[in-house]
Amino acid sequence: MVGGGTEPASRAARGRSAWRQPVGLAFTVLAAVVAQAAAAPPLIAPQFRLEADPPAWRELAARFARRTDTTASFEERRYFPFRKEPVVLVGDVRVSPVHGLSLHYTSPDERTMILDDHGLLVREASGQAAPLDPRAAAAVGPLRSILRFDFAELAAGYELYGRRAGETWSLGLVPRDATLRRALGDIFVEGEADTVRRIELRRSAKQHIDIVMAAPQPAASFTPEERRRFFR
Amino acid sequence: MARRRSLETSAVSQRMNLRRRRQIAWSVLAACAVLGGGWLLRMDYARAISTDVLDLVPTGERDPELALVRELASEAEARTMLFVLAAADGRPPPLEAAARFAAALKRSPAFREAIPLADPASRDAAGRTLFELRMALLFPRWLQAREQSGTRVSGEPIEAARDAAARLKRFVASPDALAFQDLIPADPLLLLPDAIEQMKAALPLVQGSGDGSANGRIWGQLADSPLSEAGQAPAFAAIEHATAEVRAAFPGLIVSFTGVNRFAAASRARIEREVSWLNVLSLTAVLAVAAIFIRGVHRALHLLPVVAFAVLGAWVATTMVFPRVHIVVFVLGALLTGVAIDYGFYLYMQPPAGPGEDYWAKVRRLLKPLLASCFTTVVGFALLLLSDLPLIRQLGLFVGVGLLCALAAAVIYFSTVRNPFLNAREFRLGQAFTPAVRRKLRWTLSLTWLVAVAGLGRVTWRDDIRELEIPSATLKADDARIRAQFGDGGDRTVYLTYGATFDEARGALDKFAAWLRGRAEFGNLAPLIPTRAEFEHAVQFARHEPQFPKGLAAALEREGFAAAEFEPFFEAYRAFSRSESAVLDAAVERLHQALTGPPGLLWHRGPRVNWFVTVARTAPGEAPPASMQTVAASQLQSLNRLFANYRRSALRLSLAGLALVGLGVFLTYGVRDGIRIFAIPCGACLGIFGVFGWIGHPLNLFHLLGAFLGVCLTHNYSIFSATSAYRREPPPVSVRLSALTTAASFGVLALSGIPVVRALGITVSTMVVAALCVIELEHLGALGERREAK
Repeated sequence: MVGGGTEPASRAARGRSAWRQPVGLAFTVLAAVVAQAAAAPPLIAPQFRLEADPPAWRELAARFARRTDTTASFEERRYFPFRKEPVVLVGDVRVSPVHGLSLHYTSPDERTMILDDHGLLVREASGQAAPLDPRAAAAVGPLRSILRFDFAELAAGYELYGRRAGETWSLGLVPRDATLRRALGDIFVEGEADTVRRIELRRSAKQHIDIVMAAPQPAASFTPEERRRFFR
Repeated sequence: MARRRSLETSAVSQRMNLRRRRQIAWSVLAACAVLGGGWLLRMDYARAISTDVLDLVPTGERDPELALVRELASEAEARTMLFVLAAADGRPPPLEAAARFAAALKRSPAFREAIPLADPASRDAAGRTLFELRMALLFPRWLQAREQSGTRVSGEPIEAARDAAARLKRFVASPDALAFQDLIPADPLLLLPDAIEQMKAALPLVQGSGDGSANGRIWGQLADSPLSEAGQAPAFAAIEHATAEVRAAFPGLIVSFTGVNRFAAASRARIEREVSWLNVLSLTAVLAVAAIFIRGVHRALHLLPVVAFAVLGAWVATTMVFPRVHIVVFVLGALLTGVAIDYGFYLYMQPPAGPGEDYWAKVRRLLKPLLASCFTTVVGFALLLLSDLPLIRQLGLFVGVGLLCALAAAVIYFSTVRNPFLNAREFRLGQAFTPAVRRKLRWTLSLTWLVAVAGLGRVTWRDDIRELEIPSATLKADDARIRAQFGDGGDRTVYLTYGATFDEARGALDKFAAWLRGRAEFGNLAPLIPTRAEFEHAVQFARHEPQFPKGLAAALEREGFAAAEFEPFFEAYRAFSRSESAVLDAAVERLHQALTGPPGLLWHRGPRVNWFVTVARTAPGEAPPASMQTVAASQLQSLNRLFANYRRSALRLSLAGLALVGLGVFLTYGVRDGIRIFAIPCGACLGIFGVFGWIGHPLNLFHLLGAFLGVCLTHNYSIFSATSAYRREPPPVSVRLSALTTAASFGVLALSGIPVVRALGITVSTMVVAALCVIELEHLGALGERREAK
C-alpha cells in the first residue's frame, strides 16, 4: 500500500512538545502544496488542450506501449458528501497488454474488477462473477486506456488536456458525453516517466475518488496462476 | 294425323310450360341472387371475416389457461419481434448500429416500439420511476423481509436500522456505489440497488445476458396483430428500409429477425401456393373423370349454378347470424360443394321414367331420396350448432344452410333446362362380375371390415395445432437461434399467475414464488410490487413507529455517515406515512407505463384478467397446485388443448349426428332396410378409422371433419342407390360419377404438404371409394329382392 498511510496511534500519547514539531512541519508542507496549487494554472484550460496524437507526448506514449506486464499496489479514497471520512480501499493493480486491466481489491472486501476486450467483469471473493452496472462500468472504463496511455482511444471519448515538466506529467480528461460527464466529473491523471501515480475522478470538492499508485514492481510476465485469478 | 296433331299440341304445351317455368324459376333465382349478392357486397369483410387464430377460442372460455393464452397472444406477447444485428464478420456491431436500426423501425407506423437492449436509456427511465416510487413499492417489501426474518424493526435497539447502516457502509465500498452515489441520501436502505440486484436474476431470462452480444439485440413491438396483413407486409417493408439505412453507415451489417408475423406470412404464402396447385390438379382430376363418364361435358356446366347458389346461401346465412366468422369456416365450407353437387348429379342424371315425362313428375318421383338424404344430413350438421366452440357452430350453419340451398337450387334450376337429363356412358363396373362373384366379394369385404373395425381400439389422437401449417425447418431453426440469444434456450418455462383483480393475482404470485423457490431458478416482478396487505402494513408502520427514522439516523452517525445529508429519505418517509391505499394503485400504474421492452411483458393489467409472468429455468415437472392460480403458459400446449377440445366436441356431436342420420333413415325406410342403407356410410367410416388404428396413423380434428363429410356423401350415395335397388336397377350412374369425382378431388388433397388438409383428403377419398365398392357390389340389391318377394 502506498501513499497517505495514517501514523500510529501511540503518537497521541507523547508529550505536547513531542508532537508540536511534526505538526508544525506538516502544516508548513501543506501550506507549500496549497500555495503551489494556487500558483499553478488549472489544467482544464485552452492552453493545455491536446490533440489525439500530440507530438510532444509521442515518445512517452511509446514508452508506455513498450511496457510489459506490470503490478503495483494502490489506495483508493472515495469522498462522498454523506460520509464524514473517505472510504478507503486498497489493493493491487495489474496491467497486461494482452489481458487488460485487473484491479484486485483486498480491503475492506476482496473482489477483482477486470477490464478487457470483452468489457468489465466484477469477480467477488467467492469467485462469482457478474457484469457491473453500466454507470459504474463507465467510471472504470477509462482506466484501461489511461494505464496504457492510449491517446487515440482516450481522445475518442474525452477532451484531453496535459502538461509536462521533465519526467512528471499531468493529464486532464473531460468526457465528451454529457451524461458521462455528470456521472464521472473530470478525470485527472498524474505520473512520472512511464508510470501512472495518481488518478482522480472529480465531480465536486466533496465528491471525488482518488487513486494513488505505488511505483510498479519489477516487470515480469504474469504466471498462469495469476492470469487465472486476476484476468478473464 | 290426329296423333300427329296431338303430339304437336303436346309439344306446344310443353314449350308453354317450359316458358312459364323458366319465368318463375329465373325470377326466384334472380331475386335470391340479387338479395344475397347485395348482402355480400355491402358486407365489411375486414370486420366480418377473421384470420385470427384466437377467434377460434371462445370469448367466454371457461378454461383459465386458454383464456389467459387468448389474452396473452392478443396482447404484447404476440406482437413482439426480436432482432439480432451482426457486423460483417459475425461479431456484435457497435451499439450505435442497433440504436439507428431501432430508431428507423420506430419511425414506421408498423412498429409501436423498438428498443436496443444494450442501450440503458429505457432501463434508466424505468429505474428513475422506480426510484421515485421506492417508498410505495419497495419499502413495504423491505419491511416485510425484515419482519419475516425476525429482525426487530421497532423498540430498542432497532436492529433493522442498525443493519441498514452497516450494509450501507459496506455498499459505499463496492463498485456499484459509484453508480448509486447520488441516490444514497434519498435511499439509505438501498431499496433501489436491492430491487435492481433481484431483477438482474430475472432479466437474462427474458432478454438474454448483458454481455457484449447485447449490442446487436433489438426488441420490437408491432402496432398491429402479427396475424393480420397490417402486421406483416408493412412491418417487413420497415425492416427492409431500416436495414438499408443502417447498412449505409455499417456496410455488410447482417440482420436476422423472428416473430409470429414471419411464420404467419410464410405459412400463408405456402398455403396459397399449395391451394393453387391443389385446385388446378383437383379440377383436372374431376374433369378427367367427367370426360370419361359424361357425353357432352359442356352440359355439366348446368351443375355450376346449383353449387353457386348453395355457396351463396351458406355465406349469407353464416355472415347474417355470426357477426365475425373465421376464415377456416369458408375453407372447410368449400367442401360443401362436394356434397351440394350430389343433388344436381342425381336430379340431372336420372333418366325420365318414360318418354315425355314432365320435369315436375320426375322431381316428385325422386323427391323421397332427395329429401331423405338432404334433411338427414342437414339435421346432422344442425347438431353442430350446439357446440360451445365457435368454429364448429359456424361450420354447422354454413354447411346445413348450404345443403338446403343446394337442394332448392337444383330443383328450381333444372326446371329451366329444356332437357334436364345428362346422359352418361355405360360402364360395367360391379356389373362386370357375376352375382355369385359379387356375393363372394361382398363376403370378403364384410370379413375385411370386421378385421378393420377391430382396429378402432388402437386409434390414437394427436392434437397438434402445428399441423395446421406446413412445417418450415429453416424458419424454426432461425427462430430458435434468435430466441436463444434473448435468453430462451428452450429450457425456459413460462408460468402465468392470474386473478380477476390485480390484488388477487399479486397475492397468488407470492404463494407460487414460495412453491417454486428451491425447485427452479426463476424471475418475476414480485420484488418490485408489494401486495396490498404489505403496502398497508408499511403505511401503518410509518405512521405509528416514529422511532424508526430516529434510530436510523443514529445508526448512520455511528457508522460514520452525516445523518443530516439523508434528509431526502426522511422527508420521503414522512410523506409515505400519509399515504392512502390509492397511492399503491397510482404507483403500480406508473410503473406499468415505465416498464418497456421485455420487462413490460412480465405482467398484464386488464378489466377481466390480470396476470404476472414468472420465467423459470429447469422448472419442475409437476404442475403448481390449483390454489396458486398459476398455469404453465406454453401457448403451443394450450392451443393443442384447444385443438383437442375442438376434436372432442366434434366427435361428440358427430356421433350424435350420425345417430340422428341413422334414425332418419330408419324412419324413412324401416329398420330392416334402414340398417342395410345406413351400413354403408356408417361402415365406411368405422372401417376406415379402424384401418387408421391398425396402421398406427394418429387422428385429429380434421380426420373427424373429413369423416363427417364422408358420412354425408356416402349417405347420399346409399339412399340414391337404394331407390334404384327398389326398382331392381343397378346403382345410378350419378352416384358412380359423384363418388369418383369426389374421390379424385379429395385424393389430390391427400398429396398436400399441410398435414390437416392431407388428413381431410385421405379420410374423405378412402371413405368414398370404400362406399362405392360396396354399392357397386350391389350390397343394396337385397332391397329390391325383398320388395319383389312381398
